[in-house]
Amino acid sequence: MNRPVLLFAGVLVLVSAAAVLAQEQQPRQGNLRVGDAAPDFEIQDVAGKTTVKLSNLKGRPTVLLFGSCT
Amino acid sequence: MSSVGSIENLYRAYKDRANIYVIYIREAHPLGGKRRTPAEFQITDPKTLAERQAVAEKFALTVKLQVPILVDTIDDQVEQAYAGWPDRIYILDADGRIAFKGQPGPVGFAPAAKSAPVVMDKLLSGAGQPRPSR
Repeated sequence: MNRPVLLFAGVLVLVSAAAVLAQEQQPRQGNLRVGDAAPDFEIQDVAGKTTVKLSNLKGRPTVLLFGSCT
Repeated sequence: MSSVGSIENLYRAYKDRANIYVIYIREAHPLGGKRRTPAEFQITDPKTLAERQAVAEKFALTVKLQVPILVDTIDDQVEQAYAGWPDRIYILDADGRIAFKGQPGPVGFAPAAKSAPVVMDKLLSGAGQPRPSR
């Protein structure tokens, strides 16, 4: 019978599509470790008026909160 | 961003004794991906720094974020160096060394936000500061 074959093919297509869609990027661990010097950077604030250089922030603890809105 | 509330709490508790910044990076779920996002945050990944700054600013205004926001370069230099995507917390000591590296992603962010005050109190305890109430 063709029907089971068709059903199987249909399921296969759906599963493959789901797998492709699910291949959103996975988070990386990254190679930084506790105790490492934090990589320096110099980037602008959201208004584009101020530039902040990480290495200028020494003297106090610094918290970096990475993220986006989506 | 996983939890604006926990970010705000951290900021309020420590802003006078530490540098606290949101590093706004490439989008976790830009349009075209699989996740449905609220209409106000449906965006494609910005293509220029100015676009990313505009998205970050709109986000900050929408959620009334008090925490200062720095915006990653459009080639994602800081995100790449720290593996910060999609979201993540790092805490650096006063010498610029990594004192805490949270797990990435929404599963990792909440526990990291919970651990952050403990880490902060420890880093600040040498200065003889009283423990903040939470």
